Amino acid sequence: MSDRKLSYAHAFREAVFQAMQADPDVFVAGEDVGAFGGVFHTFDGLQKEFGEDRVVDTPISEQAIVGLGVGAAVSGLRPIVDLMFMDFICVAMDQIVNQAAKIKYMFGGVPTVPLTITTTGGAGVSASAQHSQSLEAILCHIPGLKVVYPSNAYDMKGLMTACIREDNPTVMVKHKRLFGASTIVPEEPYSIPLGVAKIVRPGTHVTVIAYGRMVTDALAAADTLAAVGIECEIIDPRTLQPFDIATVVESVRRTNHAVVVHEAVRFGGLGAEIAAQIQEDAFDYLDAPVGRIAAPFSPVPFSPVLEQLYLPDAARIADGIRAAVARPGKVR
Amino acid sequence: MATEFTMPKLGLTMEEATILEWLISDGQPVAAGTVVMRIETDKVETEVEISAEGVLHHVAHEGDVFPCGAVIAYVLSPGEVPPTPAAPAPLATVPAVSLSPATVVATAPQHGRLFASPNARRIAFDRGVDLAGVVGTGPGGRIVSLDVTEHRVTVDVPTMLRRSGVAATADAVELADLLGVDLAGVMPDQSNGPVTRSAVAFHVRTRLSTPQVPAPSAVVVDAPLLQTPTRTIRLAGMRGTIAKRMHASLRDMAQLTLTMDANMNAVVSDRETRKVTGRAPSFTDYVVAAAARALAQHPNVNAQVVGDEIALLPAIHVGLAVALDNGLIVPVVRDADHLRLDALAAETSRLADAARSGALAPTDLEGATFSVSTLGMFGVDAFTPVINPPNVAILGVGRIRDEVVAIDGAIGIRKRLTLSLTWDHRVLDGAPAAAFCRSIVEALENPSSIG
Repeated sequence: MSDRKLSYAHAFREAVFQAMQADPDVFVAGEDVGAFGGVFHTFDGLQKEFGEDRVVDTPISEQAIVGLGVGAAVSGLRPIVDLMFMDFICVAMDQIVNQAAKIKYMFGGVPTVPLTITTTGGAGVSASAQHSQSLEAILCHIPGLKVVYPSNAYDMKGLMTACIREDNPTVMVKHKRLFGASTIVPEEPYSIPLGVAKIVRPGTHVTVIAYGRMVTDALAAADTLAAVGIECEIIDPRTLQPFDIATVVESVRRTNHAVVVHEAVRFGGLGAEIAAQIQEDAFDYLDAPVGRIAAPFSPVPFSPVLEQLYLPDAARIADGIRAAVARPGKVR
Repeated sequence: MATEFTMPKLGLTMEEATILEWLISDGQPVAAGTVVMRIETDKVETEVEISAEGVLHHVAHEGDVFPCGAVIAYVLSPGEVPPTPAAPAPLATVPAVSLSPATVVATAPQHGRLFASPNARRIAFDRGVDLAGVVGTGPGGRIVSLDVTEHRVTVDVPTMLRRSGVAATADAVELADLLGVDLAGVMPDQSNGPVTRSAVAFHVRTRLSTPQVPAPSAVVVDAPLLQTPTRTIRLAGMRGTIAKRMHASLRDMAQLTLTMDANMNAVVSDRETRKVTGRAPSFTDYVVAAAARALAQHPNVNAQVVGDEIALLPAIHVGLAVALDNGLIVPVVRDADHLRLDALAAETSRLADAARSGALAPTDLEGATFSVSTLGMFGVDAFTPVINPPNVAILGVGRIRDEVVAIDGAIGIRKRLTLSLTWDHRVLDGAPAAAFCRSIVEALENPSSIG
């Protein structure tokens, strides 16, 4: 097996590239995806390889971009449409929520919508309040959409491949701060099934559920805590909708403690849903309330100092995990 | 170094005992093997030896009731000061079990609620641990599962019991019995969990704090005294046990009684034959033997209700009610269906003698699956015996009498005996109960079948 390393951005690009090679129905449309190769270099060289008909630069109109994708999908193509920033899904919400997610349901299950919407989420690059949001919970609330959020290059390629092959609308969220992060990525095409979580670090004392960039920080926190004898089991759901609660519950039944980490604001975030499902399915196995580590209820600040304070990091995750497993009354 | 002297546990079901008398006074020397006190359990009066040597220091008073394991005295070295001046709390006056001071401090619930994580409660239930005795080390003193698992190392696991068909910890049963609370009405801390001591306490507090709700039979409310009594007899010891068990029996079961006559001519003549060769079995022995054989043919009577199930029991142990001056006791003929009549007679006579002389071993009193109660010697024909829980039936035996009966159109005189079978209708309907009683009658009318 090859030990070739690839960045998160290029793993994404390779998944798209190989899908376009394999299937002439696959095409890309979005702002600056063609000649410029995408503002995060995620579509580098694709237009040169596949031509302007299959890698289409669009005007700045998210509503139109997604609408184009929905129409192309129901008429038999397999489109990938890119929204540069997740913040702009709000502009295209009617197309995403009322059209892409509903068409199969509205028309008796006859049409398929093999549409992949790709976008970027998360903060940490001083892009301020309108270009840094984590709105994945809004998407996960919509029946008819599948939502993935890879945390590393290997998962990126496999999940993006699965999204393109999926016959229902998918939203691929890439984290802006992960584009340069490399892992070993096989050259041959492969796909990771949607809705299957991965235990990225086994442990016995507490189950930590983290996705996107927070997986990296949770792993760093786990290293810190392992030094003091707290063994974290870290689960990366990889797909946020459908959510693999079974893997989480199986883990919590072993560890009896759970902490959910996300970069989105805490109120109404995915952590609330995950915590609720854990208590529904593993209540009698909990030794502590399910912890949530997330951003405060505030827009993402522009100031780099405030932004750093705003975002959960390894230290805050470690503190939250310590609180979940704490036994202050234990006298050694 | 002071050695603790605790209330011993003399049998599987013994939970507490009354100190009747200290035979060695406070401050007197004792040697290993010295008989130091007499106690009364719910079943027997017995003397208790000490195994340590030194000076006996009483911390418990005569007449008080203590749970098994409670410290009731210390054996001190000469000149040594006793370790704790405080006397243990007897059950009869203070509803508390012996918790270590550290336990009380650490888990003292601030608002009357015991804080324990769901996982801790689950594991405590699985292991039969009463959370009331567990020290919580989680935030705010919450008991977490590790507290439960670590707890087992230092403290005896309380026994899980079933009472009124309810799973409960020994502590809970103790408190419920003390307060006269029916465990069936107590909400467990968690669904499907056992009733714990704290759940009983919560139940009682709830009852006390809602006076507008008429107190159900769960809490005993005494009527005012009608007259100044000449003397009072405490419902403790054997009397207390009979009171609790018989009341619980009638409250918890659907009891009813049928009567059926047996022709005893064959038994009478069989007995005359045996008298010639040696000791003749009593009439009751014939009935016990007949009942044991009938139980083997009707396994649904040799049963017990556990939760929502009827458990059929393989071994047949017949209890025999024996009247004593101060109550009654039910020694047990084990595997009665396997005993030949003469062997059975020898065993019942041993048990009856031992019962009257107070020499029954605790094992002689445990495990009855059915009981026989005789009132024939008082001229009683039929009565309604009360089932001895957890059995599902009891047989009352009346007197043998001469009766003028019509036999094939002629008048004859027959020896007749009336049997009174009380059974639990939850377990058994009338027809199978009658069929069971019929089998006893048939065995009595053909005594060679019971050997």
